[in-house]
Amino acid sequence: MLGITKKNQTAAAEEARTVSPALDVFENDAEFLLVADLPGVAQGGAEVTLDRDRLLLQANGVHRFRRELVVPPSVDGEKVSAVMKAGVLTVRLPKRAPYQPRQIEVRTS
Amino acid sequence: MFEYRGLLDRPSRDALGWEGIFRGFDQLFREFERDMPLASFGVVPAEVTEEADRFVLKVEVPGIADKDVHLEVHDGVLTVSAERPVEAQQGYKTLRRERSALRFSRSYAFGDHVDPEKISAELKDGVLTVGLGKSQKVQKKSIPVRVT
Repeated sequence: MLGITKKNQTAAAEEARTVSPALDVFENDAEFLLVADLPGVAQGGAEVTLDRDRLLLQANGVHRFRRELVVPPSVDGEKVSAVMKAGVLTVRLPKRAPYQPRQIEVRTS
Repeated sequence: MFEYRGLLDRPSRDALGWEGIFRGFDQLFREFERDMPLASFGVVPAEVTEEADRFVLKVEVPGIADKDVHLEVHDGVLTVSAERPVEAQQGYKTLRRERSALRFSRSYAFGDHVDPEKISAELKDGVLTVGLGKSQKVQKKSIPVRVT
């Protein structure tokens, strides 16, 4: 039958490859939201590290996944959180208070 | 005139100095080295491998829900369809969009190589794995060697 690969060849090729996962980035006044596809990665299998302004995502699933990003200074590093579910990693990066737009009331007199 | 973006910004690697052109989200989440998987281009990675006693189909569909996967076996043909729409994030501005909607639909004609009673499917961690047990006809049989 055409198009069928023998398991051994595939396994060796897959393990050697490090791949950058597809990523969506969203923003609102309060935070940045990162959503990454990490197929085959178990709920406890993703490693998210924040070192100063570098966010590193690493995980082993269908591929060896790795992606490093520069994070803006408006992000409050203490409040970054991440959730892994059904092969999708969601990282929330809340902004520091001064970076959240706010209305200043203009008082008369 | 270049935009001031803060203390931690690094100059672009581009020797021509085109930094000013890449404003907004590209510089906001600037990164290093990218080798992107097929799924980023709308192609759903799917692969059939052969093991001793079965064929295995693996389809990468991260974020998919059970209800979005359909499997049908009929007359020696397996039809698999799976769909992962991309959720719009309400109340957010999109800075970068690489994850595309995944739509997968394929038929595999296994004829009498597969025993329809031995078909299993599992959706785990965004990967759909379908096992198709080989029929007696194609199973390699170990012939015991009798010593007399």
